[in-house]
Amino acid sequence: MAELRLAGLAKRFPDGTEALAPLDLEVPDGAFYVLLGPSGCGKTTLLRLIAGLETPTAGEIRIGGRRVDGLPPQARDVAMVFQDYALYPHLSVRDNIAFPLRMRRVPRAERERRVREVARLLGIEALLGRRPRELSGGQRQRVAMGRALVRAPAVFLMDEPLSNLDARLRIGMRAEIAALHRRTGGTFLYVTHDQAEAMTLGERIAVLDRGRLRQLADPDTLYARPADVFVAGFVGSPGMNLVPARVRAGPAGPEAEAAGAPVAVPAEQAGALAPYAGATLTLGVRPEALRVGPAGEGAAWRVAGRCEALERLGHEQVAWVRTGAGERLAARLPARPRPAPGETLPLWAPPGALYWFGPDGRLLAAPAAADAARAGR
Amino acid sequence: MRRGGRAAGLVRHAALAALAAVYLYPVALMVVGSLKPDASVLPELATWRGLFPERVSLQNYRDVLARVDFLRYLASSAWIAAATVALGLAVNAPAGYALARLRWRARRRALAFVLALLVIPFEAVAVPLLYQVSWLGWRDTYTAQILPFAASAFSIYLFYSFFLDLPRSLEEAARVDGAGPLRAFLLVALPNARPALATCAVLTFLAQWGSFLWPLMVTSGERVRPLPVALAAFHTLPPLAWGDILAFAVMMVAPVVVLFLLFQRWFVEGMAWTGARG
Repeated sequence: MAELRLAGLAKRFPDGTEALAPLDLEVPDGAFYVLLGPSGCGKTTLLRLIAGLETPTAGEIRIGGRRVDGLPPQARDVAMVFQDYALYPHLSVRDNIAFPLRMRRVPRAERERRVREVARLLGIEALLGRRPRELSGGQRQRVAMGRALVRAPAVFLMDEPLSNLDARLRIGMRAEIAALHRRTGGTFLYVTHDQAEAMTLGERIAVLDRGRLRQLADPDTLYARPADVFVAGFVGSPGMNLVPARVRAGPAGPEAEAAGAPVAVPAEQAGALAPYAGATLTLGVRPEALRVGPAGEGAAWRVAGRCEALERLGHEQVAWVRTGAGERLAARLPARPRPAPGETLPLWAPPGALYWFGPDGRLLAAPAAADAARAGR
Repeated sequence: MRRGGRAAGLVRHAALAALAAVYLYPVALMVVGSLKPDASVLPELATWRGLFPERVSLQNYRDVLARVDFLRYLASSAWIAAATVALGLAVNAPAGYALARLRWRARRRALAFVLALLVIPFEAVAVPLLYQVSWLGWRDTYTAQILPFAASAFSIYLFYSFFLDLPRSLEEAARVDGAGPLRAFLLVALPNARPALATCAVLTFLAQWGSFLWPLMVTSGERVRPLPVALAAFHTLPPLAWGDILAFAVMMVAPVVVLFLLFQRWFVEGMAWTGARG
């Protein structure tokens, strides 16, 4: 086990596309970090750079203090679980798991002992004699994990290991991977585009977008204090509602207007917004913070809109609402009452739900509660 | 898939049966003729006796074995074909792999060169090759019959396209698991190339077993003469006995049939793979 340290790591492909902008990342020994981002954001490239399957254009990679970016994959002491598992079709499950040991000339008896141990850990002892094609998706996944676990590498790299499984299995395996991490104490770097996976597994999550690291934070912070509009819109399901908001100076501090409706800027956020009088900022409100109905005194922003679509989730529903100003908002509502399509819904947000992002997209102000929640951790 | 009714099916089967008969007729004549007395082979050829003889015997086979050293030819052919197959796999599989997977400077040009070689018929290079082989002092040797056919543009291309289709992540997994490039090839890529290996082995074997022009050019004596050339020579060896010639032919084909029955799965696997690629 060892810590992983990336410094200024960058990758540009021969055709000129920048897959990864210079990136610094430090994964402490024994930590579980997740790389999260939409497809094409560079997260798999980053993993392949660490594994040695791609050559970086710049920067360095250190594992346990040893610089490895010039070394071939086999000399880096990392294990990788591939998205398609990449099990060796011509070898039995036993020989698949034993392969990394065989490459390191571990004696046969020792190999057998460690394969058994890992198979017991993963509950696949009964499958050791089978070939990969005789296994189900979930079983293949376990074998791929076993092949990575068997030699206790310095770093485990996982490239969307659950994306080929069906939803039920995925949730089960998620819990197992978390348990495996606790039991082995290994350093894990896990790539996914699935935020639920990222939130449940990651101690810390690195959000990537178009080759750039947008935010590195624990799951709570990522949700409560997204660093910019990309993270805000990407994390959460659906992501945060983002609406352009004009700010101007008022007699009692900054005033704002979004989607044609005035926004009462909470006193604790006024200071952050004051310098932006005359500018257009982005107002963010989580779909779960929007309420339906006549607002009481407590509303900071009131906006009405036509219900365009409804997603029924059983215990709740997501209403997609088009405001008069043309903005599209998502609101997470209780399962009842159910709005009719086309019905006009009066929505409102309490003052403790407002996020503000600057003209450059960076977070200016989060709700006070979010800061408190963070401080209380 | 179901097109038309029963009648259409019958017509199709009848057409296929007729076609099969056209192909099988000469083979049947060969087998039957080899079992008949020499004198009755030609006169009965066009009659129904051609396929249904009055009496059969193995006399022609005994005659062949008594008249020429058939077993020597058989051994020569077997050695030439087997050695070419073994060498061919050893050379062409790595070559195809290098073209498909490794990054090296002249890769594209090398690939274009291999593709260009595909369209050159052997007959076009036979005479220059003969000069070369003579200069090397290889006339009347097995080497001259094996070595020029080990490396084959067709086989290299076959392996190249196979390895292109093999998921790259297999070898990448091997690399991360601790294998160097050579072991990734030998222990992971190659064992998974069985269809390509089978196709290459089968096609090389058949080509060598039936090869006539080249062995005729480079062999003059009996020592390293393979079966097809031996058959031609036997034909001109008096007395002209058609039953004997057909018996010789049957004995020449039989090993291929036996091999086919033994390795049927491989033959089919290989053919199916080439076929699937269109």
